[in-house]
Amino acid sequence: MTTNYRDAAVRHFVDGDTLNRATRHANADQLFGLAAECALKAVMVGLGMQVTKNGAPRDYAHKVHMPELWMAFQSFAEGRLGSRYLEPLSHRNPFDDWRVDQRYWVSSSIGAARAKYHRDAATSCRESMELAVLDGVCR
Amino acid sequence: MNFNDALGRAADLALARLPELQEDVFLVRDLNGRIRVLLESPEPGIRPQKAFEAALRALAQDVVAALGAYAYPKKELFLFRSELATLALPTPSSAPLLRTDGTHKVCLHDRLLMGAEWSATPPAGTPPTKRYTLFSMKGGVGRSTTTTVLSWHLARKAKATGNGQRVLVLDLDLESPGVGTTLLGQSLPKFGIVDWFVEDALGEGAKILPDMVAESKLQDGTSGRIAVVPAFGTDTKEYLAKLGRAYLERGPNGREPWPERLKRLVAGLEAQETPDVVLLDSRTGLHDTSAAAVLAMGADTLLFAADTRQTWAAYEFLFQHWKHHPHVRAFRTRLWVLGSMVPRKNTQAYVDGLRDQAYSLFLESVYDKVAAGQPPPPDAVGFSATDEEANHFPRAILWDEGLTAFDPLQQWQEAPVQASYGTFLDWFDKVLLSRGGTP
Repeated sequence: MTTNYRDAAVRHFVDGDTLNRATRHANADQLFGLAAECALKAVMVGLGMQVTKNGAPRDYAHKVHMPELWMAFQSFAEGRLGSRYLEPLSHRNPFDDWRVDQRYWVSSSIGAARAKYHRDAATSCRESMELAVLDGVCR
Repeated sequence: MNFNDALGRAADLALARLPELQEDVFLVRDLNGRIRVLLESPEPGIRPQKAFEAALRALAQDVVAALGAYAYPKKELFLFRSELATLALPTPSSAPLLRTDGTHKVCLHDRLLMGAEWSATPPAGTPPTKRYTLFSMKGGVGRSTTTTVLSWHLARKAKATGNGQRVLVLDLDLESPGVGTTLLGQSLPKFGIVDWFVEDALGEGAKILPDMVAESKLQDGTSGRIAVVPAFGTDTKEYLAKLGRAYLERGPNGREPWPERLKRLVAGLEAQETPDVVLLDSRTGLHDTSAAAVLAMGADTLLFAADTRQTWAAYEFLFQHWKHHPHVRAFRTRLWVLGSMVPRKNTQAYVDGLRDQAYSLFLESVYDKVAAGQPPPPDAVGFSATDEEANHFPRAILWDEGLTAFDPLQQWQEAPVQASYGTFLDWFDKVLLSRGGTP
């Protein structure tokens, strides 16, 4: 198994879009949250986050999903270099209402508006990652 | 091979492959100085697939072999726009051109931690209020004193209404604030520019705008107004904690380039204070905030120059960069050289020296050189070295002992000010004040 956050971020995002187009909003929303998580973790690895041999974060505080990862990223991405990748993100945590456990929720609890909201937020995380790719910070 | 050689070598190699690639190629130089190639898409499109793939392989082989550590490894050498779909990437018309075969181009996309603003596109048109940026490459050349004198001069200067000009002065030298306290002394407003950037990032900037401006006593006795926005105010408190956040490229609605944030600040202050003239006292040297004041504000810029080797060497870096700026034609006629601290002894010879240095700088970078027998472009700019109307021609400000440690609020030095600044102020009124903006 090889962990590659950049690759996974794109995969979850693209698959989320596919499901969204098919009005499968509940699982699309799930994937947008995971896409955002992977994009930010890709940036964090580029900024020096320590990972295990399998690519998992070593620090327990970084071994989290949304919405906790959003906050962890805000503290992690500091300084002249790190703050560049904070800039595309909004101040308010857009994943406040997202849970990795929503995979257990009833389908009707997640509609198009919520999926779009999280898709927009995941797009801003992708922007952060793509800036880091272009800068050579994220491989 | 070193940093200097790598880009040119990569550009030559990309140029050689343009006929096979059949598209514009961008060389992306990352923050480490490593180069890779940005193409539209990994799909061949209308090109024969085998030929396209062979061209990519050959280019990768060439670049990696030639550049070594200055290029990405083969597997990572190519980036595709489709992988960077969320970013507004430069286009061939907005990026520095490295090479062309007449059909396609090799362009540069340089990723910089700081300094990218010197490549920014200036705004189209003229701002509604006349704006002037005072910029110096080195410190201690009288830039803030000149801002002070100019504000006083303009406040006294009658407009058609019979009143003096309403002047708004901004101290943008956040690392070394000066003109705010020179003009206001202890009578600072509650907040300054550094406070606004911190508050604005949280969407609270508008709240403090009315508390960022104070009038200078220097306006007493004039029929105009000198409103000053200092870098800090009486309630700023943690200056370094705020300065450390002031350059964040994030506004209340997310990502926003710093010059755009500055433009919003200045536009907000202009709406609030309704000035006739805005003076922007810029930070010294090649800093991004100086670039914002010089390029993004649509201002006429006064470039301070003392005739020293280090001054010209530094300007040379900037002008050489501008030589390849795709929109240099939009701002080159807004750059004006000022000869500062001109000695009273051998004045003419000193000014002639300044003039020749400035001419050579402008000629080699921003003026048009039209070949004999060729018609000049319609917006051609080219002057002779001695043309007094030319942008490079230095307007002299004479050194005067009376202005050393000048504290205008304690005692206004009328005679030394006139002696030093008379010629410059006449030129400013005649040439700059009559250009652009709302009269």
